[in-house]
Amino acid sequence: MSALLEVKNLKKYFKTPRGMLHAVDDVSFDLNSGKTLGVVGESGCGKSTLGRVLINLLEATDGEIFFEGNNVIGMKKKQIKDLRQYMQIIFQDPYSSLDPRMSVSEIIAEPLRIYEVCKSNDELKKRVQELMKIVGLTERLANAYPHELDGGRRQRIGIARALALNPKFIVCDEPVSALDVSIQAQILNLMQDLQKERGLTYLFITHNLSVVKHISDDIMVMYLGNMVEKCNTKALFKRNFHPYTKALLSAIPIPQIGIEKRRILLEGEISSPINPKPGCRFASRCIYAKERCNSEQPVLREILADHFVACHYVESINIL
Amino acid sequence: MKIVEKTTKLALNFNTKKTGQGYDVWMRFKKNRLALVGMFIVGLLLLMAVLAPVVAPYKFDLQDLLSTSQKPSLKHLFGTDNLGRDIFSRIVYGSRISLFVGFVAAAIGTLVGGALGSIAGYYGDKIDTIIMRAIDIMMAIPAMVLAIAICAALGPGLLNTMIAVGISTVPRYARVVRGAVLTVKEQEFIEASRACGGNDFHIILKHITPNCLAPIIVQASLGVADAILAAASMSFIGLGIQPPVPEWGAMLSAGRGYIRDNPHMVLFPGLAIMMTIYGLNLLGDGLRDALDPKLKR
Repeated sequence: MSALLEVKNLKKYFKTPRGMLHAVDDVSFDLNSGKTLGVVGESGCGKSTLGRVLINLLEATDGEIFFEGNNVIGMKKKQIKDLRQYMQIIFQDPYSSLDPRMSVSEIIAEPLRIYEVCKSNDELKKRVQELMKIVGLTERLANAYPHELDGGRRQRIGIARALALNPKFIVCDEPVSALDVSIQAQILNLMQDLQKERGLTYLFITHNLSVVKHISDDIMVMYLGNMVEKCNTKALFKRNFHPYTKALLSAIPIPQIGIEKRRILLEGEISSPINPKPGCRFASRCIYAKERCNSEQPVLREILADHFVACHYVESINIL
Repeated sequence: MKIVEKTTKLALNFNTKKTGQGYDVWMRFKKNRLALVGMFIVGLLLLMAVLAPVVAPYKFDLQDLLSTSQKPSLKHLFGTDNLGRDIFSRIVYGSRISLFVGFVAAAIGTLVGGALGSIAGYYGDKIDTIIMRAIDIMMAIPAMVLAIAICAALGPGLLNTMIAVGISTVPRYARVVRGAVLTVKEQEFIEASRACGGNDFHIILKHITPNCLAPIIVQASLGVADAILAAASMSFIGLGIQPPVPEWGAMLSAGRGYIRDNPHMVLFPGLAIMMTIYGLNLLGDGLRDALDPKLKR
């Protein structure tokens, strides 16, 4: 299997009045075709920024992104435009990601019009209807406006728009977090079906661990712009090594009465992502932190086969 | 039976027939009675301006020195002024000048201000700072003084009045448009459009402009009214339209001295200005509502 997307030492810094904000710092991973990589982490850890950098909505500060073997960084505008056909994004908020002045069919037709995929208006109309059918929208909604529809239907429009150009890679930026639970399931199933049918590759950004467990093949845990742990989903839920991952997973509610939950409560301040100090970024909240953690940044190491952790003391904390 | 009716109504709401956006806007506009009144007033004025020679019973500069300062009568519908000219005819002809000046000046303001404001708002950063500080400097000078200065430099006349009034309103439009662009620019659908391959031009044209249209239209409809007033003021101090061309503001100021004995000399030009502005405002409000599909009932 070949890697569709290869990311090497990707960095994205933002200039702020108080200094450089390290939103994504030194992230590397491979993503194979047809797979789903879940990205989890708390608010502000750089998940969404990562997704936007990958599809070139934001310019990377440093690093390399190989899409089907071609380096995306440093490409000219024209090349990026060509590439965008293959990389799309589904947004978190189905209320602000659709232009309120465009009808459903106009929204879905937009990418088709930009890339002049269809030769005639009839063909365009046909293609839009086809897309609406694929995502489960009835034909009569074609001339409705987004505000007339509920969140689930709006998200379906967003998915149809993302699918319009037959992309290979889709960044899903918390696509279900704005929906209620029953609709979440519908949308997730739709996305999984589409993946199976079309061999799509997803980067699934979320803070909902149950969702990510359901949909992802691999999981990447992020903390303040750093990757702290990455491995297969099943393996991660069975065995996890980084102290932050442990704390994060212990927060998943267990729907069973009588089970004693052992939650790991994190204490201490979240260190600032602006001009971060050297050392492990999690150190200020980590119960195992030692002196070395405050001076030297841990690198991502392969602890077990295909299981990467960035922690100096993985071996002493865990029984491997 | 009722349920059947309701469902058919619902089905009709989701009209699957392809209808243009202009048609949608008109359907919504039609439901607003006040807006229709506004459109009627503005339409009437436009008709009057176009058909002035047919509507007016006298020539606008015909002086009848035997019947000066007459009160309204059947012969002179709105009376005559101190030189014996028929006020009704002058108002009819004056609508040509006033509407023309108003629309052209507002158009100059909207286009120049709108372009500057949207560039500043969309690109932000340095370009924004440069443009907006220049606008601030213009704003520091009162619009009227600015217009007078421009007019004094270019010389009086119809075209120069329009340019002067137009330029003096540029800062207002620029600010309104910039503010509107800033709020729209941050929305996710702009990012979505970029992800779909849209370039700056496409995004400004297809997403930002339609979403900023409401405040621009309201501002422009008020702007026409303001421009009419500003042009009238310019004529009043002798820098605007030169006599004997009839202009409502000039008529108003000319009649000012006779307000005690002959109030009709100022009443009718004043009413004409008022009705025009009222009509334009109603039309502007109606358009704003009609252009917003969220208000679709």
